[in-house]
Amino acid sequence: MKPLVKLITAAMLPALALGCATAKYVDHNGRDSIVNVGQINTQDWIRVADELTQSLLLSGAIQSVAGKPKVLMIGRIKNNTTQHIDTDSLMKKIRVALNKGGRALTTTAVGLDGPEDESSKAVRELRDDDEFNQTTIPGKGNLVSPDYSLSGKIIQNNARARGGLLPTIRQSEFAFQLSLTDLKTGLAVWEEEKLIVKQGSRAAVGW
Amino acid sequence: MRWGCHLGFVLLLTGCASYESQTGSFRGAWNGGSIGQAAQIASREAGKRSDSRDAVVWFLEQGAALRAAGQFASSNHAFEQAEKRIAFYDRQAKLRLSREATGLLTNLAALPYEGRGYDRVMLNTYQALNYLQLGQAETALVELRQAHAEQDAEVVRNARRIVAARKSAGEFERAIRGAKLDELQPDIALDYGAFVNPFTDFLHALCLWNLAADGRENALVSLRRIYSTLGGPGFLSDEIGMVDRILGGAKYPNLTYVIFETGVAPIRREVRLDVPLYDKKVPYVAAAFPRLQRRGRSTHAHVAIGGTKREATLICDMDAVVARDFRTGLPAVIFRTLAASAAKAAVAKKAREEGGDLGAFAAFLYQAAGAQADLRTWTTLPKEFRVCRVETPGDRKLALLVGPQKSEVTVNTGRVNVVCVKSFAPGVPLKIQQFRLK
Repeated sequence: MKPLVKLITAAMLPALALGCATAKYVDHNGRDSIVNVGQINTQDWIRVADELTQSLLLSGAIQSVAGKPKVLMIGRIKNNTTQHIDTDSLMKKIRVALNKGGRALTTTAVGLDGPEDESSKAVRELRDDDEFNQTTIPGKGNLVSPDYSLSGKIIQNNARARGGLLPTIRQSEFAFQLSLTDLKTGLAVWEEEKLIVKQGSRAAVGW
Repeated sequence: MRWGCHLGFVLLLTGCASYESQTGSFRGAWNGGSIGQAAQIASREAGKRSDSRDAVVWFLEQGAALRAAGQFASSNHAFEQAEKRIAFYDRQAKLRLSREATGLLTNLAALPYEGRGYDRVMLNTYQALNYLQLGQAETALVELRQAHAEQDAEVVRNARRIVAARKSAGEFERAIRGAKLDELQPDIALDYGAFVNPFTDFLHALCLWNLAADGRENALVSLRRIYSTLGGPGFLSDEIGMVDRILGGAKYPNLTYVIFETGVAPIRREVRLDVPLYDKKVPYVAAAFPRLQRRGRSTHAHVAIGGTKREATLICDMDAVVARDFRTGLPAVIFRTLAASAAKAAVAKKAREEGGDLGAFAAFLYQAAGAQADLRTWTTLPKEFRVCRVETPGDRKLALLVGPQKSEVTVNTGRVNVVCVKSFAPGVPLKIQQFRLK
């Protein structure tokens, strides 16, 4: 082909390769969900949360006394990965499972960085405010101190390997470590680590 | 006369004044520190061009100028207009036949300016700073999350551009080598790699550990990322240690962060070259390419308290960010410019052959008007972002020094404060704004 024609055709070709945009719902834990090697995907959070919750429940570390659930506070969850993550993706699932099982309730009035929900404090600041019926305001000594704290760390390790002409294989390992500390004794009464290891070849990129 | 109609239509599409000449008076006012005047010009031009192909770049200029003038809400309105327009382009198909045909028959400046990767990141960053100034912390965090997502998207776009560049460079290696087009590539003293803008990540980290209700640990992720990108400066290593202690429950010290925005980002100049195409009918084409031109020099900045002076650390060299974007985009620009020039040369040849003197004149007009490089770029971005952290002194007074310029500021009450300092030309007073973070 003549260079001039070739040049013009090449410039126009990508525009001719038109496709249709689509959107669809997928099962968040199904095979259609997107899997990224360097990221923690929704299905990873679900799997790890399930496994950690099962481990915690089976350990018997949290035992309700006379049907009264224990109180849990959320401590520091360190993010030692290379990506921004919302650790609530993990912790909320565990909290929900413990709450539903009647083993433990989570306090939102105490936290390392201050309360998760400031409302408990805010409502107490209405004491002596004439505009409010004082009998509806919680009295002193009602907030419950936690029995346990749940803290942990998420770690990421990356590796890659190249085998001759084969594409580079990338591997990401995410370790989810959790500890349950008895706040009376300071002892870790339950500890667990779950791993997610993902492998894939280098992303194919092009026009 | 069919060629005549075609030429007439295409001439209408072809860009008129280049962006460089459009922005002459605006840049003059901005560089001279006449911020109010610059904001007025930008607002007028953005209003005039709100439906044009240059709308995005003018809204960006307007947003930056209004921000510098202290009109934070209006600045955010301008940035929102730019954002809406960018989103509109993003919603359209990635490759549009009409767009490609326009580019091919006219020039790249005749296509809409859809916002470069670093524009999108800086747009969200400036919006966040405006919201912080307006006391709207939650909205600022939303903007910073958007900036973070844009950075990630840009990393993918960069990778695609590099692969595409390799393909097209290989295909037209002879033409590129023959005209020494690779000399258009700017030198990059600092290369942040796939990283887009370390300053945005720094600001995000600062807001995360000070303002966010959750996700505060992510501040350390960002800080570690910048630390390794910038080659491990001592300032960031101290910052990581301090933030780690605070997140572990240590008491907040009284801190002031001073952000220096100095100088002006590079602009694009046009270079006209004769490029051999090695085709019998059109052996050579005259084509116009953009070349990046740096403006001014790097300026050191300091914060002085009493007799002690502390140097601000370079967190982001915008010259490097812009150059990196230019570099990865250039092969595609060269390729499309060559294709457009070749198409125009072929049309002009036909007009000359069939239209006699009138045809030759029309062909000349068409080629002259069509040979225009795309020089559009956000000109009000700074050259550098430098950051200095100091313990707020008892009298809350800081002296701020940028090169030979000096200004004093009394920091607001509060545990963690941010002072933004913008410098223009030497001799023009520093523009100082501040807000309380915690």
